[in-house]
Amino acid sequence: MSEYCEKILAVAKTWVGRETKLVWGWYPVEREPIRRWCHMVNCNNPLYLDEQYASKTRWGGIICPPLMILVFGHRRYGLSSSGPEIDWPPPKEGEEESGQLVPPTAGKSAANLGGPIEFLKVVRPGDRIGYKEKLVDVYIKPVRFDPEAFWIATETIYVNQYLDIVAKVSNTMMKHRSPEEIKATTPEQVHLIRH
Amino acid sequence: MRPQVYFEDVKEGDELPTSYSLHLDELRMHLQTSGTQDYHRQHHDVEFARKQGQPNAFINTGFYHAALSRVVTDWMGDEGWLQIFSMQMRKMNYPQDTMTMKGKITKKYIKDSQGYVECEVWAENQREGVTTPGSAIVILPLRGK
Repeated sequence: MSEYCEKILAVAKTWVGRETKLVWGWYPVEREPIRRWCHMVNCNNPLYLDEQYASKTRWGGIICPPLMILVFGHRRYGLSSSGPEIDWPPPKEGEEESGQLVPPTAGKSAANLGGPIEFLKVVRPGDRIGYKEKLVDVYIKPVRFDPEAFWIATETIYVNQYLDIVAKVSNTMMKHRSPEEIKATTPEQVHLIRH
Repeated sequence: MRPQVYFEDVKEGDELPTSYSLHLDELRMHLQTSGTQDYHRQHHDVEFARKQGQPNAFINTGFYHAALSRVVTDWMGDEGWLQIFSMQMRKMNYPQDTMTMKGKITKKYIKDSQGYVECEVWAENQREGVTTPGSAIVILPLRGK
């Protein structure tokens, strides 16, 4: 392992065990975003799209597709930040740290590797979803395009407005460097590449 | 109402009958950003993705969640409950790939008077075969309950 990455990893390890405060999604669960989510994958499930149909089922009305619960828990509508230059409205200073644990890593680029998600309660339009995240582990493991990619393991709980846990997520995120960043060996060189 | 599958109707080894395909054309890439509201450039801007070391823009997590879970939620019907879902994004899906989502029953059992069915699910494409293996545990209704 390079000395540079070893130093960053040592700092990142001190973050293990940290937990965020509970953060609420900006918007309640709404029908139109559910429709767009379904449209994305040609899903025509009437439980998600047809109020009249859904009202006659055990659910009594439209419900949120289970995997979309995670989306509504986040500040903006969207599973993750698209980057400060894209998110709208622009994030306030320090906002990202309030709902997500992002320990220092060598690279900025990220790929989400996923993990098990448990669903405990149904979520409906009008519900509010919030979440909090705990950092479980950080380690270095090589990938094809970065021999020292950082892997970040987290556990997240999602709650509704009654603070009932509606979903639990174990996730692994991989953060890697660009080819130029891999050539750099000091923080100063990386700073020059990024700016 | 839609036909309902019951715990007693399924057996280990059965393929889920709800397999389907999505071609990742330009419209699908737009639907991806609209549906997930994930506008990160790596998921739609080819030049940006290349600068990050990727050969192309690549499909985002929310899209995989929606696409792969649909195989299960379409199959389990109005009375089913998706309890656990998991997937691993091992290989990328790029624009112009055709993703096919499939599933198979691996185990069924009764626990606490409920009918549990475990499934293997996966997304594959024409270039690399299985790109996104996953699994799901579903509670199906029991006949007569």
